[in-house]
Amino acid sequence: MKIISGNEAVALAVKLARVGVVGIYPITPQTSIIEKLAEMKANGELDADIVRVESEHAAMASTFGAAIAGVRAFTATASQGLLYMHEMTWWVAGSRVPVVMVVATRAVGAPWNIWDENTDFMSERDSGWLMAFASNPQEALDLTLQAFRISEDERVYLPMMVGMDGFILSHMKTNVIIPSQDEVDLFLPPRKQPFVLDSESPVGMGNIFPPIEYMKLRHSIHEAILHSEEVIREVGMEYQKITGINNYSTLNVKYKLDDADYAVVLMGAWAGDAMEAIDELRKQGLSVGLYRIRYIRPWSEEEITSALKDKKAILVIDRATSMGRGGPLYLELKSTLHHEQMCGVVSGLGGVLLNKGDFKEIISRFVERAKKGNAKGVTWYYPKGGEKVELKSPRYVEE
Amino acid sequence: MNLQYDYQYFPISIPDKGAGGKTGNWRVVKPVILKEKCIQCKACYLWCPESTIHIDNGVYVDYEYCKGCGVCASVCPVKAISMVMEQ
Amino acid sequence: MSLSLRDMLKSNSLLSGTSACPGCPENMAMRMVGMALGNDVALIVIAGCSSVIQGLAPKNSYNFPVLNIAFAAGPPAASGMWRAYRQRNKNTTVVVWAGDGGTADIGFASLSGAAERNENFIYICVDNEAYMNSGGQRSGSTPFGAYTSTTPEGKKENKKEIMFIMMDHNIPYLATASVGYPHDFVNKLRKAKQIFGFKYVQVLTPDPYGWMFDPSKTVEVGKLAVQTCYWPLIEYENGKLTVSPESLHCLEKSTRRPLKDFLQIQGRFKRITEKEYKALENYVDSMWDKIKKLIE
Repeated sequence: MKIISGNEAVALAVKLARVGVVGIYPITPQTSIIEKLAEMKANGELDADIVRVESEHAAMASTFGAAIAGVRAFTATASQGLLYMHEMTWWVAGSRVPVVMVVATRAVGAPWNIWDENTDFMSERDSGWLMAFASNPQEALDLTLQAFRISEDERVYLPMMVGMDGFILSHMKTNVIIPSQDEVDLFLPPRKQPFVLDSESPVGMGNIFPPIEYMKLRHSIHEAILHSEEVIREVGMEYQKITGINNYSTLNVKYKLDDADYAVVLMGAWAGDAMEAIDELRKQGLSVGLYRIRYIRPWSEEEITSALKDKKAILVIDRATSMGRGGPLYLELKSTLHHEQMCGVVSGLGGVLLNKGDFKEIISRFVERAKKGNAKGVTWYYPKGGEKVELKSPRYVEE
Repeated sequence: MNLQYDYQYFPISIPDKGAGGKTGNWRVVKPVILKEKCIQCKACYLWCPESTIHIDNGVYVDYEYCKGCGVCASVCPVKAISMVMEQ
Repeated sequence: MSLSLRDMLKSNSLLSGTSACPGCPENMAMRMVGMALGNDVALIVIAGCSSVIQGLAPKNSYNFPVLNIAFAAGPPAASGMWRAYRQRNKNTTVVVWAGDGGTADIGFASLSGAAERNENFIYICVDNEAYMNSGGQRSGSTPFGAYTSTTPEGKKENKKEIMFIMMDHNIPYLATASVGYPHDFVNKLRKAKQIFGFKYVQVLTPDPYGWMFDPSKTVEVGKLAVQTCYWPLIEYENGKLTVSPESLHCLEKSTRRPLKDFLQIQGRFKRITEKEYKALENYVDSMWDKIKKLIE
């Protein structure tokens, strides 16, 4: 056990997974991942080849080039970098070559803002990547290690990304149990992939597929994501035997949910603050519990429905937004549950910090509205005093 | 390649002739090699953009895929190849 | 390194029945790659004519393992790929096969990055001087005065001289070639294969449909480009620039074949004015002046 940050935990996971090639490009707040990897390489701790490319698009391309040629490959990015490599993330998913990426989430410009927001990560939802979101550095390490095994399972064969809140998790140091190399070697078999580019038996990847065949390929990705649920539970349960501390036998995590009338749904590091708020609200008599989403893709209709279908009302708090509609978790949940009493709150964008008091405020307001049958729609929440902050930039510029 | 799971399909292809179809059908004119004039310099083989000129005791054309571009006739130093209208 | 025709007679890199236009010079170049590099090659093909030439899946006209990839991603994918092969103890030659659009324009930054890192692969730019796969729009590599569908009055800027820019990256090996001179091209590729580090080869592939000439004349145009000194055949190795035999006559202005012999045969130069012709001649002159200075 060591006191390390999320970034360092991820770098250690990359080493333990015996990754072969890492394509890297710096961007706040992921930079200390690649710095740690370079440091480990320089002092002989890490065997991987590090390719210090010229852009994030190139980072994904170099990672992919190594992966399709048969070695385990990894990259990491955030915000602008993730958007810049968007073309390549789709290319990798379409190729069905397993690759693992970590995203230290951060707000997206314009304008510049380097602090935490999950919109960058969520914008990859349609691509075909598996997506998991950590809520503490331990989970960041655990999910990264599991990602190698899940993505390389023959029932899946899809790339997987693990997100963690930028700065909040990437830089925050906590106790992390680090599995030994032997334990990881037992857990992670040698790399498997659906095909390899080898001159002995040449195959081509990616030349033109006619319409029906292309659609069947896309359908295959869809099916693979659906089938990945059982793989994730299997792998999670095996992984639990190593560190033994977290509950990886389910995709998502309940907290005091089963006996609660009202449910709060969210993902990420602020689940910790939300849980503290819920503890205090329960002492005050509110029947409320938390459902923490850990896997965005696959989206487990089964787990989610069974956990939430009997709740009187559901509140979804998003640290991201689909402009003009609401938070992505809210939109996804609404299409799964069709609860009339479901409302969404968008907050925490651009690094706005919510504390336990904010969560108590949000949740109590929600319960009040729910009691009146009015828990609907999407609202944006600013912490105390936030609404009074004036945007001092000019609204228009005079000639 | 394990094909145990019937929903799994991958975007791959295998090297083979005719990936663009029966390209011989594209022709309007076709190359005819006059064996008596041919000096077997292999210039036509060297430059054929479709790999449809083959060497076997001289050279011959694979009419299944030849597109009739006329490069062979143009590079032949002794004009042993003429481009003839397809019937 | 002399190369007998016998050595060139083995090539099964291109399988008949491709989707290329009749007379396609990129196909000619791909066959020459097979003659030069053999079978232990992995190809990375970026978006361009060659993406389509491979034909429809489940077949592929290229008899190599091929990674088809997005436009600007060729050099970085090669950077990852050659390291993967090294880790797997394989000697496979990694080749990026890119058009001029993907080299001079959209892929320029990643080309430069891979060169700066001296990544170990061969970058072959097949230069047909426009975005031909999408119908012939201008690229940075289109020459002055040429008609393209986005420069109907003729391009107003000179051709981007990528070979000089790549020389300035101090890479171990650089060469230019033309499909009109296959022995020269094959020799250069074989040399590149023996060198560790970043190798850049730009082969002129005259496109009959984009340049507007009869497809049977592809080879002739490839030769004229060199004979009129429009396209220099050079080699750059360990900081030393040499002019290849077929271009030696270009060093003296008096021995160059008149540029109009090259321009007249192509429809894309049909509408150039006297002034524009002079400008093109000046461009060729100044390019050879630069080359002469560099071979000092």
